[in-house]
Amino acid sequence: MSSVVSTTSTINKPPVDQQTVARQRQRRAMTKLGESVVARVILIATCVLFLVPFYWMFVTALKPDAELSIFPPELWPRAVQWGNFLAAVNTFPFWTYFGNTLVITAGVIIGSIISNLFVAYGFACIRWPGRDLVFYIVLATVFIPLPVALIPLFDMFAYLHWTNTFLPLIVPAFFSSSFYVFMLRQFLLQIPSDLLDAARIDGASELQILWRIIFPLARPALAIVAILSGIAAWNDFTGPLIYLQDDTLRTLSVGLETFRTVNSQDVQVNLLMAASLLVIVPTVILFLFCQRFFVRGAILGSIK
Amino acid sequence: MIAIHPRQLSPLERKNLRKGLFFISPWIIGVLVFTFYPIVYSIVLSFARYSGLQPPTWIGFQNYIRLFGDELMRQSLGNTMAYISLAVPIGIVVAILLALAMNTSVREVAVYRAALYLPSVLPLFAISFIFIVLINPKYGIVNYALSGFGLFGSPAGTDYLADPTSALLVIVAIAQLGAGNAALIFLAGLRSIPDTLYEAARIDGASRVRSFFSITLPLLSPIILFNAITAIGAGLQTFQQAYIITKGGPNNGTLFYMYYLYDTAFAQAQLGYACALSLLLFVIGLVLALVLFTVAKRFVNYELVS
Amino acid sequence: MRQCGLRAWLVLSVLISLLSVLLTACGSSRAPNDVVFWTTDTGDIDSQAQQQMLDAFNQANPDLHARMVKVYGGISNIAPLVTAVRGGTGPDVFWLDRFTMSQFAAIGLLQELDPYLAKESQNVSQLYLPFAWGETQFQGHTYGLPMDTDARVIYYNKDMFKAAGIDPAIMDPANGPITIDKLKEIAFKINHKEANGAYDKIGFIPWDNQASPATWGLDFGAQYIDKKTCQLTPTEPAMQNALQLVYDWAKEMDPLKVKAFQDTYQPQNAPPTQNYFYNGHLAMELSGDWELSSLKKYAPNLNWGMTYIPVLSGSTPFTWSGGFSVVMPTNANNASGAYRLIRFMAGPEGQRIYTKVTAHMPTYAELLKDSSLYSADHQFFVQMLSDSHSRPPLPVWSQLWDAFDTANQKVILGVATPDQALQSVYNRVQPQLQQFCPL
Repeated sequence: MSSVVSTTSTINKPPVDQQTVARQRQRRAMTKLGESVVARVILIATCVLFLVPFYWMFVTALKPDAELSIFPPELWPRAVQWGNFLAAVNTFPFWTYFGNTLVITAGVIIGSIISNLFVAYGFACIRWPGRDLVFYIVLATVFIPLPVALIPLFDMFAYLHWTNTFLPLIVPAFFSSSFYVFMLRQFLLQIPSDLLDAARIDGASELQILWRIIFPLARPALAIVAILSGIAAWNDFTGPLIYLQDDTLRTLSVGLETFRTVNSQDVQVNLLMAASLLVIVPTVILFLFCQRFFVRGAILGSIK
Repeated sequence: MIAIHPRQLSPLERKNLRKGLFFISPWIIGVLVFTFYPIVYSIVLSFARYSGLQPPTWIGFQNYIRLFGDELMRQSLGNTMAYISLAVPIGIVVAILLALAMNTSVREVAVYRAALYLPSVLPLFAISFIFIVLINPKYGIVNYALSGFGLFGSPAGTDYLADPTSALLVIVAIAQLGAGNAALIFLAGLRSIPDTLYEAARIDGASRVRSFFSITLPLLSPIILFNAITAIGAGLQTFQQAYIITKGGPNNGTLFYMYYLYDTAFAQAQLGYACALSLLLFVIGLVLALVLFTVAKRFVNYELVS
Repeated sequence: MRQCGLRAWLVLSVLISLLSVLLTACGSSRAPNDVVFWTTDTGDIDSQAQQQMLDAFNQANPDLHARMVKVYGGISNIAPLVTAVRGGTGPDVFWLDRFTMSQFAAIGLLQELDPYLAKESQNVSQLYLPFAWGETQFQGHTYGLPMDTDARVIYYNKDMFKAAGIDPAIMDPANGPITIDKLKEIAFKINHKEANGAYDKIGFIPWDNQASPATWGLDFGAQYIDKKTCQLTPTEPAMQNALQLVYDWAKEMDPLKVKAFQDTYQPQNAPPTQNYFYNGHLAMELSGDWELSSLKKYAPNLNWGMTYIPVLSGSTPFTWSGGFSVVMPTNANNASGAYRLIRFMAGPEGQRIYTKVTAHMPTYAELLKDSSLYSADHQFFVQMLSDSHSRPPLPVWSQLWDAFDTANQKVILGVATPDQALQSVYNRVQPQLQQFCPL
């Protein structure tokens, strides 16, 4: 903590003796300790509150059928049944759903990285007349809600006979998203234009500049785009709900929900919890390893 | 920004224009196909009765007349507004509190940060599944705990999904699990406020609370605005939790606008009316954003933003 | 700077998406002799019966292969069907609740069967019960064939009666139908709360299972529509009384506590054995003849009896019948195969199987005379069938049913009077009916 004091204060205040200074410092230290204790209490309490659902999910997943309706509810199963995870994978067509979700997510990530980089490059690295005006339009479209496009898009995809395939879920990612364009442009604007101009003078085409210079430099930002778009695709519910009819094509989100309602007599809560945990695990692992990128993504997206 | 005078574009500028348009062409196509075309299509279809299975029948303004007399539409809009008016302010307050706590110099802050942020990247449908189990009237741990503490006057065996109001509150509560995202953004904002400001305030005799309201909040105001707008946008589209947990009930208490739209379009096959519904949502979203911007002009302070 | 193995990720993703392009280019394949059958009726016993019908069909028709796909979202959710048909990936045959057929025919969801029926050597309409055939008609065309029908009664738990000091003989159908007031008296005697105020025993819930506004409405003589003026009549006295019954009953019992009871003893995702009637928590239940199969399978030790639905007064027994049908949606891939499957399932062979397994009743008139299909208990229902009521065919029934359900929920929670709730029903559905007037 800096000890800089404003000049006006030094002029008007009387000289301070050593004892007062020491007492002030002690008081400040005590308040700081008090603060950190209070902060810790709040943090721990909030963490507990936030994590209780997942603890309960874990506990329920481990309970055998008989223990599901014990009252009062018990905090830890009497007979831990790890086999529930295996049973969940066997009761649901889990691997089918998992594979489908993986394919769609991969497609979306690739499409997002390529298209958003392309477009952001156009807005950040080339100086063309009218560029900033068009960018304001990009900004405006960030706030347009999806529902207005839901029905017309469905009809369009139906006309193309793309329903019941992955295409309506993957192809739009290849046409960039205003939000990611905005974020990438922020990042690319920081690259000095002299670098690019030098390359142009040396005879490099724009595509070469994009691939050889920009792409390596933009990797951290692209990682963020990849992670954010990937997670959105992994967790997407409404899209697969509307476009995927065959059970063999469903993703984890919709697949688990439809399976649970169709086979309600076979699907007990513990199996559903176990399956849900398995769905969450990849995202959790990704998060734990790439925390830095999540944080940066959140921050980059908010600066205006 | 270069002023556009088409007659006066130099050959270099024209070449750059072509290059620029080439690179942003995916976006141009995307906006035309996925934004512009749907809006026009929606407007056109809103004047028809159309099931998607037969050619449309043109019925003029009937859909709009029906729209303004539709009780369920009013109810779903009311539910969505009620949800937004609860979830957005609560969400911002929770996020700021979390960010404040995360900003104190506690050694293991990374652990807390991880634990609090994690729920917001998890799929909403999985969280919905858990909540069904958590609030079972007899075997749910939440009911058991709340009744044990005698909180909110809830005896054991209360079914939080039986009463329309409490069902809505359950959905608001679920949304708070996503506060981690906003908290991180506020944390970044907090960190960018220079310490010198707080020092000066302390020397002038301001209490911690006073400096929070006079320094922190005003300087965070652009971030609060940003969060509010995105939260409202997301709130207008609430769908999943209602679909999985409550199916819009009880008594249509959790029938959100998006759910009603989905039902009208895909279950009732009334696409013309659904288009009218979606256009109304669009207009409402625009109006809310404009209102927020106008209000913001008086309260939002951009001094810190680079 | 670690990039989380971004390069490896990229390579992997490229490979996977190449694969996906290959996969999705084909879409989901359908063999030319496939007949795809979709059903939202996914209960354990019913799906067994449907699968048995398909197996029998496949055996009798080796050149076709019929397969069943269970559809999510509940028995009346046709959103998946509408979406699929609009996208051109719909089924060949669909299992549809019969009373909604004309509404879905009106929006173009179903194909008319007239061209196929014309080629038949017999007059197919004569083979079925008249009221069931009536529900398959829209503007003079036939849009499906009737499958099953049913009838409704009150099932009661004799042990719970005795525990509350009531002689179960009071419910004996030989004495004719019980009155509503008497039933209410018995039900409230059986109601019991635990120490914390939650119900653990309930006598009867007049909005549970088959006790719907339609049930009480038909019981009290509702007409639903005035054909001459083409006006719906939801505010008629019969419907007012129906909702008043529910309003008063709910008020006296506290609807939130009743819902808590339901969610406790029969939560979402509970196995079929976890049912508050089978487990001795609910003493009386208004359900249909299909319950006979379920009771046999899931509650073999329950000491139960059955009697007529209660009436306001008088000694005429009352019940009403519904049932399902098989239809051919628009854009069906294999139309000729679909018709053959429809004819089989709705014909004597299919209906015989379905009746035996599920304890519903056939709409194929001949089969009603074959007593080998009906257990002793089931005969009770067969006798009732000739005097049974049914809903008048209307092209807005799906919406009307939903609107009545909404109105019912309002009066259960006490947020509207029966008159207000029913007026909303009129305001909501009458405009939908307008386009079909005159009927």
